[in-house]
Amino acid sequence: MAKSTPPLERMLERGYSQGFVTDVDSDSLPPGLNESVIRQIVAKKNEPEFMLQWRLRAYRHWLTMPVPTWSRVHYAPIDFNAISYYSAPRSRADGPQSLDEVDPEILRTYERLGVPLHERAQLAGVAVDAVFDSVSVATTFQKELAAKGIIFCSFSEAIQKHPALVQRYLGSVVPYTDNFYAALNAAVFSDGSFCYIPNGVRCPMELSTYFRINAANTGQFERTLIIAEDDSFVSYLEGCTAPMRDDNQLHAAVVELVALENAEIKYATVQNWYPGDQDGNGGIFNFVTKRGLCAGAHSKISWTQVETGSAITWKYPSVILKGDYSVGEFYSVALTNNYQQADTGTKMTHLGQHTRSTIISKGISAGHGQNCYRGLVKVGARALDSRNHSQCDSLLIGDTCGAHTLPYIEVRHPQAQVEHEATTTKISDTQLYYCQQRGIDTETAVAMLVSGFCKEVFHKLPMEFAVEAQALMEISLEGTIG
Amino acid sequence: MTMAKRFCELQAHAPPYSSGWPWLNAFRQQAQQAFAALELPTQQQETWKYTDIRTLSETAFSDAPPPGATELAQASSAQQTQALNLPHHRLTFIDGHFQPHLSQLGALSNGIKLMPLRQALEQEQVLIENHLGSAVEYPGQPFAALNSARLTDGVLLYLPTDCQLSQPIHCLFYTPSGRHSHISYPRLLIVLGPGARAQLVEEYLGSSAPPANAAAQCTCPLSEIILAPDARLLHCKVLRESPQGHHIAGIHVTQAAQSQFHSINVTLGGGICRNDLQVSLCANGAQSRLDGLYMLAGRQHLDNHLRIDHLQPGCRSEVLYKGIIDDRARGVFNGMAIVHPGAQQSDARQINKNLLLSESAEIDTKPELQIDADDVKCSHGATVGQLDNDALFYLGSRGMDQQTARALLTTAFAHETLTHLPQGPLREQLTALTGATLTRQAGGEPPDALPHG
Amino acid sequence: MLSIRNLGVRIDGKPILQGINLEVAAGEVHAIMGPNGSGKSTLAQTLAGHPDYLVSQGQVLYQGQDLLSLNVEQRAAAGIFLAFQYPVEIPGVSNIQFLKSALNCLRKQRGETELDALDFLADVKQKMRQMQMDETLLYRGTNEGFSGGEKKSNEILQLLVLQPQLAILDETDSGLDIDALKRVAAGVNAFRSPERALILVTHYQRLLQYLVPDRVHVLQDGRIIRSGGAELALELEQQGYAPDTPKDSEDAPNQAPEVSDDDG
Repeated sequence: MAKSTPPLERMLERGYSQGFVTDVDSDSLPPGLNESVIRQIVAKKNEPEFMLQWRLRAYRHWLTMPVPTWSRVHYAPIDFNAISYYSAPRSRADGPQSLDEVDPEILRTYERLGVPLHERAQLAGVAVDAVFDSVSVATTFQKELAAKGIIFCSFSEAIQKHPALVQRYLGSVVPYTDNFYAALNAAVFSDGSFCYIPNGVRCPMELSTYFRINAANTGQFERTLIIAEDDSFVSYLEGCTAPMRDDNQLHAAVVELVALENAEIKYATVQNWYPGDQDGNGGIFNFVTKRGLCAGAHSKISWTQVETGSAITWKYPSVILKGDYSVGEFYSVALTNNYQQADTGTKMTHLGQHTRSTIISKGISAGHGQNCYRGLVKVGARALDSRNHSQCDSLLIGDTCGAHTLPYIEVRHPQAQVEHEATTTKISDTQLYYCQQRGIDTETAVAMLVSGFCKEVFHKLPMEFAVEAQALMEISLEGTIG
Repeated sequence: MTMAKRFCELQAHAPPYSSGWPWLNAFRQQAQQAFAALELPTQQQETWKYTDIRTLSETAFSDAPPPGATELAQASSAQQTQALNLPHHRLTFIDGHFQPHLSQLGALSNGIKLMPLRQALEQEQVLIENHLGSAVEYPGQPFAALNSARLTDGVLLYLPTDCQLSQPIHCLFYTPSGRHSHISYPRLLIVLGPGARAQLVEEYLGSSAPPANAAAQCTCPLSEIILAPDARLLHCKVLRESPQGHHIAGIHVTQAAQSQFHSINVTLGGGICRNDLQVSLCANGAQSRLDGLYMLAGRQHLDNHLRIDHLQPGCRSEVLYKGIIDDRARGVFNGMAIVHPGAQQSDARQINKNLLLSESAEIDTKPELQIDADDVKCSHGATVGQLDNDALFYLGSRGMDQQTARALLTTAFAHETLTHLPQGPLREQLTALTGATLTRQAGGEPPDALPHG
Repeated sequence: MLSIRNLGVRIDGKPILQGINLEVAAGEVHAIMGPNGSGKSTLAQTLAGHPDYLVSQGQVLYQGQDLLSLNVEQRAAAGIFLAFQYPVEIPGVSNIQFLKSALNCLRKQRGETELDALDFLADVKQKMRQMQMDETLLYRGTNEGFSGGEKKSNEILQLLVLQPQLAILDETDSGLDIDALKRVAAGVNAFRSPERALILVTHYQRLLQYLVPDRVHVLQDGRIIRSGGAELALELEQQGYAPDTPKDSEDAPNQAPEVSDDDG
């Protein structure tokens, strides 16, 4: 084996020699976006008429919208006509053929994160179609879920098998008019997850933990819809700590959650997409719209996120507290290193009476990273006795990074209580010295202090995720103190 | 007719005071060009998101003529019965016109210059050339440009090195009510030399009982404050316009090393009001304390916009703004602390607290931090809420009735913002004045029960 | 074990230590006494390697090695432990996590494997009982909200768990009531062995009743002006530090006189 040749070059050589290029092309649409492209997407996916009409309305609205410029992230304009909006599920034949061909740096990261061996190959995009243990595990759990009446499937499958549910809830929380990228997503979204928890059912497992491999290849315009009927409960995990192979630079996902009376949805995300290199070249643009609707009384939606990846993150998981006594929560850790930029936060819109929301945001900036918390707490004129508490802390490591805090608070009810607190400090020299005096090396000490800073948020993650998240922080912080 | 067009038309007229001084003409012309290049703010702009000034644009304001006998009588009576009583140094203006008969300047030690700006434009041209406009940048500040373009009169205060003024200077701007809509552009230039100390009060006063058909008025003042190393200024602004009195003001401060600026900004009345308070901490050790208190009622709209730039290491800023909002009034607070790259050891703190007293009142608050250095201590906090139920219960358990207990706690809430003022007549009068406003507000408040009583 | 030769230290350009000479052999206990501002804590922090303390002259040999060329974590790995006068609070990082990280880092440096989690926990709990510390302190943030006595006990707990060669106790007795003082002293006595050395930095003699030193040194104005046996501490307690110094001098460290070149 010619070990001296970099894997990428070998992949390219093989690609040409084996002539896969034409095969792939035949199943993809050429770059560019127009109504005909949308009709072709609908045709290829065999979607019903209501989907076509909805996508076309979204597309026409998108054309009227300017590209948003209000956030604190900076990037070269995106050419939306240079993107191909449909490609068939990717053949794995164009990936590396074995783990030996994968960048050793990535493999080391998997090892440190404790990713199980059988998952590493799939995460790295290795072209192995052999059946993994996890797949059969997945099948087993699918049966268990079906027995309880829980629907958990791909969005495409949901459109085919449960069109009434899709038609009723699609766009009900994030309408296509919401923002530029939500409109684009509505017009062209490829696939995603659909989840329906029936009345009174407590979902017996963390959804998607066992399916994360299957979810790893959902494409750049992902759409997720979760509906929790009265008195139901579901905990959903998105993403994974391991860096995934991905060729698409732009990601514009939409997630919609609907919690009916007395229902609870917990949604946790760990995002670790390629952040670009140390000089800020490359990396994923992650422009996401996530919103939950607490539609029923006593419903609860909780977002937890750990964001360490992507070159640019633009993301505000929000909750509309419509039902009386409903509860919204947002727990977030966002880390930017090198030249990463993150503009992230939440919106808590209190409409119903006696609603409660909590915001805990921890931002860490290192290197040339730019980290911005942007949040809105809105208390409407009907929202008697509503309460919010927000705590936004920023930690700075090094003098070339930036931390920005932009909370908006709008209150229109005299019986509301809103409290917002924010602090920005650098990592403490005194604490660092104390750790070092006890023999803890600088990198471990920094990672320990940072995870201490993030503790309140990590505590909200499911146990196994929390351990991974902590390891992930350690890796992401490497080299921040010289 | 759009406001922009109206103001452009205004620009076609010569300023009320024309000068043969080429420097001043160039200064005004440059400001006018800057103003013409700037859009008038709309709510699409982030810094004007919560403030709608279309009402102003629908009003045909004209430059205020010198006051007649009626206005003089109104002002004279207001000065005696309503205004703060700080008689040592007082400059009184009606609709922006200086009134020597209502003013008095106490004895000033050598080198101190305190005079109407119009007089300074003729007698102190070197001083004016060196300082006027030096603390203001027009981009993003159309009303600062407008004030400069229409510059006519106001106040000059200059203190040379190590000079100290023990008595506060009281600048009273009276807006008479009348049937015509007038606009005025007072300008204050305050320059403190190294080690100098002074106190200055800007009071904007409107008629306490305007007739029902009173027309809208507008005041558009701009204060420039330049503090040399180790200078200290206590700057107090009291806004008590009538409901027809709109007010769009700028206060721009530049601070040299070790200087201290203490601002107390009290708003008790007005129509649509906006304060842009901008402080640049330009050298090591500069300190700013910005305190504010607003008690809004009726349909008043107040937008306090603060921006503090930490440009150099070792500076400190502290903000405490508190508001009590009743009826259909709306308060807006935006406090932005910016720590620029390299401004290490910056200490920036900000607190905004609000009480809403009515179902139709609204508060929009946005404390902001933009930090581009790492060795900093920055924090902000904002709250909206009610009086502490535990405290109310405690007072009740000691035999105090609800209304008294509420009044006591509300007063304590408000007066925290005055605690940093030195003891003296200014503090006493502000305490009395805000206390009286609270009593009026409390009188109209429904005796609602405790939510969890 | 430790050999300090003509050590001079400056903080922010101001001379604090001006030619310290001190020899500490394995198994010995040395007490450094002196009025406030004499430079005692500066000596402790300098030996630990605090980056703010700039060595202007002299050298320090530790187990034959040039100590001053090592950074703080390397010195810790080499077996130097400083019990802080003001132990640092680290919210969010639990006491147990802190101890475990420190011990594992040290073991790694010494080429030892990581300790089994259960063995570690059993060891720590046993030592906590010895120190009469409440076990719940293990799961709170390191020193976060601890009382003064709890903080000092926690320092000694770390000493017992990390097992260094040379321990420097900086005013560990200050702010302790008599029972806490006895507990701390018992903990430190448990640490003593013929292979280990101790430097006690203290203002008062009372700790020395429970921890009897081999040698006592009096530090004043950045110099050791007297040395003697354990009896010297008692004499100081009765007579004060120096004939021309008031007993409770509150001199700040930066008021030390300028150093002259022919010093030492």
